[in-house]
Amino acid sequence: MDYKETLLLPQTDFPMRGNLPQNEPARYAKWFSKEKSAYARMIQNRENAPQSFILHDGPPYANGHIHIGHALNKILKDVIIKTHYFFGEKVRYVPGWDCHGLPIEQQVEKNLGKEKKDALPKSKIRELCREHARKFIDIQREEFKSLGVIGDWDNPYMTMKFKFEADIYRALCGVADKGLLIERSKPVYWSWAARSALAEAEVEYEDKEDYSIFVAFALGDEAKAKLEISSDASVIIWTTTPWTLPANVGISFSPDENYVLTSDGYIVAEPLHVKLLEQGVIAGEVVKTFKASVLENSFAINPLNGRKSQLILGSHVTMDGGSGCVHTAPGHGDDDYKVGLRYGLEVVMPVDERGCYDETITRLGLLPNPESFVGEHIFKCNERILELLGKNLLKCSKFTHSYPFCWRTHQPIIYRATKQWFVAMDEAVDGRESLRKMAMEELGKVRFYPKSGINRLGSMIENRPDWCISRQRDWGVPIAFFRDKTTGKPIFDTKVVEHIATIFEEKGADAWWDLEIAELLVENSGYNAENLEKVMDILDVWFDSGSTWKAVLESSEYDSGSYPATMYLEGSDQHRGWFQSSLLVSTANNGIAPYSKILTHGFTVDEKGEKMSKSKGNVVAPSDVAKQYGVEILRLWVGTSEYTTDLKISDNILKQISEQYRKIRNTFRFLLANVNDLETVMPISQMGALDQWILAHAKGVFDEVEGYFREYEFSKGFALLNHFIAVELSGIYLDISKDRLYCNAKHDPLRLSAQSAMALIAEKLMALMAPTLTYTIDEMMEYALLF
Amino acid sequence: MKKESVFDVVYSALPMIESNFDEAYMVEAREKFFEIVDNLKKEKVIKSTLELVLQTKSPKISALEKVDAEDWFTVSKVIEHDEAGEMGVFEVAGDSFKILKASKCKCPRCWKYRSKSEEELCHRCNEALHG
Repeated sequence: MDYKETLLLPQTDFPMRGNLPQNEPARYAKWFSKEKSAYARMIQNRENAPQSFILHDGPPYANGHIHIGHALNKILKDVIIKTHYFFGEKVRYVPGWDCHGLPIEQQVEKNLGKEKKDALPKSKIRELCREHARKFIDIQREEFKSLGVIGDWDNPYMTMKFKFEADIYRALCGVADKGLLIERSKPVYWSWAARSALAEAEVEYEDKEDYSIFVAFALGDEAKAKLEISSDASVIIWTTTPWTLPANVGISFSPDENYVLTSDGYIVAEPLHVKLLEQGVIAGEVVKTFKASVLENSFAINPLNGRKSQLILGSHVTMDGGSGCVHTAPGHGDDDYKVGLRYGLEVVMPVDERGCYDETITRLGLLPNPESFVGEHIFKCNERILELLGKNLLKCSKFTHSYPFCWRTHQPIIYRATKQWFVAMDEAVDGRESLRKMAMEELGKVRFYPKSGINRLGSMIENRPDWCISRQRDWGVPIAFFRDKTTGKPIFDTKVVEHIATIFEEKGADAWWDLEIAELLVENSGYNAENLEKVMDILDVWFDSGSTWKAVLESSEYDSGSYPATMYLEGSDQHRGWFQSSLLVSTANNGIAPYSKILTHGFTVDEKGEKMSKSKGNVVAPSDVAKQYGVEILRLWVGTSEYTTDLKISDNILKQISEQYRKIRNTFRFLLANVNDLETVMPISQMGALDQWILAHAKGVFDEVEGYFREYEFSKGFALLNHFIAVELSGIYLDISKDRLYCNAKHDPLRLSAQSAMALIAEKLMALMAPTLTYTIDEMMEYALLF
Repeated sequence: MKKESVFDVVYSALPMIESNFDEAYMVEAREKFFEIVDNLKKEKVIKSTLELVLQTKSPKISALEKVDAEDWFTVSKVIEHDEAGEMGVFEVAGDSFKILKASKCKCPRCWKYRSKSEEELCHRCNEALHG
């Protein structure tokens, strides 16, 4: 007789194979449908939850398709939000996009052609930019949804929405109101290629070949007299930017080091004398040693133009290289600017926004035959200047060094003094501490994952200069202040600016360009429109995203939870970007940080740890992974990776993850199949010894996993779960339970006990994996009769 | 309440569970047992652990239900008294274990060696089918 029919063998319709690429899209479509909206269900299910978790989305830029880094970022956010959700908390997630800024404006410019763009009214250009952003928001939104990322996709935030622009402007007014918005002429990073000032976050360092030149500046008579010499003598300066020599107004000496005069009539720092001899810059022996203070405030002569160059002392002068006598042009350097302020040096700045010499060259006579230089690009004038230096050019060579480049145009940038708007870091106004101090204090209250984040952000806040927030472009939120023509002062009156904000809400910030001053000015303002002019700069886009806490969390436009947010989560590059700008704007306005936790992740690299690039052919596109392996595999990759460092991804790695997924799926399938005819779960206290053992063991594991998950250490939690599944659960328990499950009578207590233990383990495992493998667990729910 | 979808799930920790099961001891016993069994299988002396009986006076094993002890090692019987047919011995924490060849017949339903003849069901299977 065949007894096989009498055995109670495991039975389930839950498929062994996930067929993820084929099946995922339909389930995701259901989650994002109006009738079965997963996000709406999540909100409804936790309506009365005592704890809430607000993740405030850092906006990706609304340009281009998403890459694997975006996928990592959004999936990690999704996993963390759902971790809080499945642990019973109320969650909110309003995704958003950063819409303003140069890349889109450049794209529009490229499509139109520069001339055509210049001929169009600003609001038309801005409409084209909006269109471009809108198009890519729609593309990226679908791409993010196809990763199973759940959030309020029907009402996401966009920094270009009219109400949003108004709120960014209000955040700016808040900074002004606290006395922290200042205007001054100062050298800033300037991208001549983009024709705009750049923030530190927009600067990248690349290798560049430059001149290394030593130039002699002859001492004036007064200086010679102070040195008690009658023969001619020259100070040697060293520079890598010959084009800044016309703007030279001084030479800085170290206040501490000794300087020497050589027998061939040159002045250099004593510690560098031997080196300069070796380099063949000079040939003479030391004939006199002195402190530079004797020369302070006397003059040398600029050999290019015969203008006076003031001899001054500055602690920025080092003995690392050069001559110890530093060419000082306050229009083209930060140290130069600062030391120039102390000595009252003139800020000579003869370079226009395109990086070409302007009329200043002629007006101040900065070069011989000045007209021939006006309109010429500075980088193309180096050789002519070297020629003009003649015998005063003591040595000239070329070398390669790390130099700041514009992140968008990839052209080398310059320092250029212009009138710019700054958020002041060190002003203590009206009894408030300085912004730097307040921001540092607020940082101390933030929890960082990983902990080292506080050091990165902290040292940036501690050392950063004032924040230059003005840009000379079209696609952004205007620094919409009136300036009194008579006094030159900007007007920050609450009544005036709030009226402008209200207009922005209705018409968008385009109104700043479209409307006349009289139309923008509130009634009974006390100002005469005739006597006002508009500030025409726009805001650094980092100010836009730095204001999202106000425009999203504080606003009633979004169901986004409360301000401050529980967590900001982005790639570790955002220490210098969004985390910092958000902290500064929020602290300047309200005196508090906009977040209580910051979590950062690393970047995606290939399996050798190399950056992905099209030329290397190692790019992994999220849509390809979805099609070939399934989104669940990508999500499990995120869940099992140590994300605080760089994350490796490749076909090999994805195959390993697929294998892990297969094991998890099979274990779940076996559990479902075994409990398939169980009607009620037996109380644990009535269970058999083996079942109590596996549950006790599982409790230990699950509690530890929960601890890791609550600290966002998913890879550690998953390692424990996978180990438990392989060793104790599959390796022992499922094996030793087979006999009683298959051979005992259906309602035999031993059998029911084992089934009950398996049901409990399945239930807990499912809930623990639900944040990551949401799709798979949802699929299982259709086959799991008991839970 | 039957949950409609994954979004109706809430995690709650398992309650505290009392278990006298000495996991370390039992796992060590199982590993040592399977070390010997793997060799027996390799040498084609046995095909399945169900062909075996385990003899021990270990108090940890005695404290268990018989069936739990059997299933832990997936053998047909765990006994205290000595019998003939020794196939291997091992020790755990000073307790000795002896692996013996099962003397009863293979139940045609569950394949445990607990039947009086190859044609007869063992007691458990008989109960399961006709009880």
